Amino acid sequence: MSVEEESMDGGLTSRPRAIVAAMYGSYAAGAALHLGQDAAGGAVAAIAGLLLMVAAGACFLLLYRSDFWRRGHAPDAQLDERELMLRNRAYLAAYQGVATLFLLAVIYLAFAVDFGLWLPTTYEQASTLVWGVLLFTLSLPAAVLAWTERPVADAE
Amino acid sequence: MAMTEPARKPPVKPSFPLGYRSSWRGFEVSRSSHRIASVALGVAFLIGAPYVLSGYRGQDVWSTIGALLTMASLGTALFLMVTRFNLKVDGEDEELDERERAWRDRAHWVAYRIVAFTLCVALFSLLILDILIEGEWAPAGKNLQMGMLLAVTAAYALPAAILAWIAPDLVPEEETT
Repeated sequence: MSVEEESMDGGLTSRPRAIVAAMYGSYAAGAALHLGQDAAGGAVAAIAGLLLMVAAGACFLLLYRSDFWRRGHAPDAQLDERELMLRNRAYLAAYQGVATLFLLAVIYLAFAVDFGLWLPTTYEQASTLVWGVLLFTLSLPAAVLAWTERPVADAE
Repeated sequence: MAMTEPARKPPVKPSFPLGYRSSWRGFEVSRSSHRIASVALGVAFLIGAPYVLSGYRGQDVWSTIGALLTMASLGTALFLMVTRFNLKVDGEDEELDERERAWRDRAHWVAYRIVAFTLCVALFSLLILDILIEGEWAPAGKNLQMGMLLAVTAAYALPAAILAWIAPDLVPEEETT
């Protein structure tokens, strides 16, 4: 990676796992605060939730500008054999993750409809969930690559 | 002269509690049959799912056809999940050779792109539709339950369908006919 590319990377290459954990963690915490603002303290909780979700968006942008994203989304012709193998392997893990998430959602939905558990009923609640699912789905393959790749110093 | 014994593959450790993978290799279906079943599943799903999500009651012919198509797509998806192709695509690393692993991973790459695109379009459509009609967000119910079940079943059958399409020589024809 050139110096220019490295500066565009936002430091992600040196601590990829921290960025990925911050992205998913802050969105989950922000969504929980935002959705449960009545129970968690009203306007302050709602604003804190929104700020956390904005932080998750910033982490997503860092990932988007990183080499992990390029390798996760580049066409075959732009990758060498090893990069192709790693990319496809990351997609395998991502697919298993998304399929498992769907399955858990179906199981929860089955119980929620029958036993009256929480379900999104307002546009705001649904929107928070939908953006979460979109963030998760779009970023997961690059996040898997970032999580599983060893830093160069370790590899040497 | 001492005869050397041919190298044997090490026994595969069962990855399922019943260990069925070590003895059972899935239903033997030819590649063309798997492809036809996959297309039929897709068509039945695309026609049947809107009936399910729109709240079919089985009171007219089209609703009944929609319900039947939905049942057919569920059945087809469940069958495709236990074919040899699906066990290949669902196999653990130690059960597959290098080439099979590469095809398995590639099938998931294609499948993920399809699922992510479909999911993004569906979710954005729901959000925009809700803004346009200014209606209340009320997706929960038996219809959504059934729709989600269909989507998950299709998602689990999808990589095997793609494998049958993009890796035609993974299982030799003489083994499957």
